Amino acid sequence: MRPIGLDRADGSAKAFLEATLPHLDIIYRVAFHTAHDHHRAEDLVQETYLRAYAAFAGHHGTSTRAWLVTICLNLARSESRRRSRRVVEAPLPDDDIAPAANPPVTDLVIAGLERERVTRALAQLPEEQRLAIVLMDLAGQTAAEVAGQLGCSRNTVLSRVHRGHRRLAGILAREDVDHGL
Amino acid sequence: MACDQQRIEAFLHGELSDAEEEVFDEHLLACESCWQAVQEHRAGRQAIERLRVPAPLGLADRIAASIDLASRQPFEDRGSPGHRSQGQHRRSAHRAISHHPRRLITAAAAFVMIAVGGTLGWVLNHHPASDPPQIARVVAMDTPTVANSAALRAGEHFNFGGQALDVRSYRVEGITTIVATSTNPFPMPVRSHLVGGSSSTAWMATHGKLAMYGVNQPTGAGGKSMFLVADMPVARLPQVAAQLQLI
Repeated sequence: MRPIGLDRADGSAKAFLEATLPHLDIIYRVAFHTAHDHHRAEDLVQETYLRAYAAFAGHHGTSTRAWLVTICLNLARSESRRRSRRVVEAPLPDDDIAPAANPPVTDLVIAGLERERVTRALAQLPEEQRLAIVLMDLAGQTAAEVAGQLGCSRNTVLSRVHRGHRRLAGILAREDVDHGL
Repeated sequence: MACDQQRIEAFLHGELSDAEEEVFDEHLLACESCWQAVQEHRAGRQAIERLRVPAPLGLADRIAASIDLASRQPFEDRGSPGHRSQGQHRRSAHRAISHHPRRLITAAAAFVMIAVGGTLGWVLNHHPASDPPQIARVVAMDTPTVANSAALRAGEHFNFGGQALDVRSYRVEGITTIVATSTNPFPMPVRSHLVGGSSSTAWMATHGKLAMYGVNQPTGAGGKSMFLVADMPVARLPQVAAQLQLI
């Protein structure tokens, strides 16, 4: 489905959206696994697109996906630095109504729970391993692209991904044992 | 063949030559630790595959609306000479948006989305300097003491500015939300943005940290007009209104 607003956009905005919106899923995944929260991830994605739009005239040649991922990563790092200096409010309990939910389909619920479990396990990895995995496995980038974004060698990226995968498998396996699976 | 971490990684990433891969395959059959490393790597990668989910529904619309907004003349530059380069214009537009609170940006994005579906576009109204008393009194109730009072949680009847209205507080996803309903339309607050439909009129506004969203029904139409106030992005308020079955 074409996003509302795309047809309203003028020439430059339209060209920008047509070039960048196909990468939205990837940018959202990167944002979510760096922000660890859906609302913050959506804000981060919006800010990424606004920054990218402001710089679109100067974007030539390089992969649009990698360019967007780099902007998103830089924003996430700067947001993370800001948050580390800020007192975080504890959320209040919802005591009147819960968020609306559609009637669950068993498979969807199980898949959702499994995703949450893997998401929690991923969040337990050291940041360098988690980022390497997110950027390679979830953003579909090459090791060379990730190396450029993380400022390390390609071999280092591959090594972090490898160690991260093994560690993740270990965390999930321990959970299975703990739950008697 | 000795166990070699780099060789395992090269094998897993398909970077060994055919001959090297054949040798490593043989090694794997005999080496428990390398076999386990490969199995764990594959299990981890398989688990990660479950996280390849699409962006939430509506996010593309939100992005498109915010870019559409950014591409327009920024607020503070209205009337300025229009001979800047496209890049300068974009940077200026982004600065204009970045300097506004996130809530306003989202509100504006939501407005563009609503305006597309409605029959009227944004109308920037000329308002008095302060909010009408009906609005101001309800907004003032969005404090922990008032909103959490048993009376307001159960719903109270008031007459503000000559208008009879019912006010009730809710907690929505941990955020206090004040809802006012009336059989008459509410006057719109200052600096609100309006989008009209054939049978009802929706408006949005911000007041300091708070966001407001209202839907007015014509007097005598039988339906109730309502507005809600909450400390959350204004773009979420229509969803909250629907969630509370107000519209």
